[in-house]
Amino acid sequence: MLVEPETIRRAQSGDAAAFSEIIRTYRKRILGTIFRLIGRAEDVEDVGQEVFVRLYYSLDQLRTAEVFEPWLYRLTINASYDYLRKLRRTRSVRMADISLDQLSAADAAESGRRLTDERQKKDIREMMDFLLGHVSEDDRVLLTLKEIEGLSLKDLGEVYHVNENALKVRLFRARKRVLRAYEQLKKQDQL
Amino acid sequence: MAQDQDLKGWSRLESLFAAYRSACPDPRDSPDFVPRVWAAIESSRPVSWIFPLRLWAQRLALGASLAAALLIGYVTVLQQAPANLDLLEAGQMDALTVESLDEQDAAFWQLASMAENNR
Repeated sequence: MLVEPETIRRAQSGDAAAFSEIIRTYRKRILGTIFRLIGRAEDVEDVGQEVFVRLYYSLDQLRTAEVFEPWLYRLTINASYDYLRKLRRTRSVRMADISLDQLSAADAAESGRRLTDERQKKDIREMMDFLLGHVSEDDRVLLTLKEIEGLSLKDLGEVYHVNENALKVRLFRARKRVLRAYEQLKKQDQL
Repeated sequence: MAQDQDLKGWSRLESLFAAYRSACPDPRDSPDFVPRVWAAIESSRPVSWIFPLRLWAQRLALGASLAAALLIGYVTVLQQAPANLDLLEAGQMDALTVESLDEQDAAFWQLASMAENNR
């Protein structure tokens, strides 16, 4: 945990300085997660702000300081969902919209080459956005948390309140769908 | 063979995820992020007149509960009181009855002795 349990307990009892410390400590991580979940840099801070406001008003419901991080992730996911719902964002990137540049960026990434060019980075982001569009919003969030955020199955179990085996099955299916979409895309490119 | 294909597929996916992870820019937050969060917290606080109103409502509810408890206590005492009153009244009645019986007895004996004498 990035902050001491004592800091969380102080924030729970209304200590503003302790709450500010929590914001300062977690803001980067939370804003990064939000960016990867909603994919719109211009709205990340607004959603992040919403997460911390929700945290402030729900902190007294937190039973123990030890489960603070999964709690914060849950709030982040919910705020991101709400944002996406409000936006009614449809992932309308079609296969035809995927450019050759994006595919070659994916090839480069696949072979483990480091992407240094900003253009290539943008390409790979758009490409993943397209691929993740092949799974449900829930599975997209789950995949993002596991594969991009690097949360362990145990962490995810605490966030979702489900057992690890159920998560494994869901992740397996979601990965398979993403992989199928990617292979289809590559096949199309070869034609 | 199929297993090899699967493994290859998974590792390709892993590489793509890794590339995506490194392609995501570091989030840049404005320097006034923390004050803005506090401002948002303040602005989403319940409206200022609602809090005293709620406090008064709580006090009123507490006062009403106390009054109800007192009333119940008073009614309970009152319910018990008539029984005592009955006892008290019964005692008085008994005393009066005994007294009147004594008087009646006295009159009876007086009349009886008068009749005896006349005989």
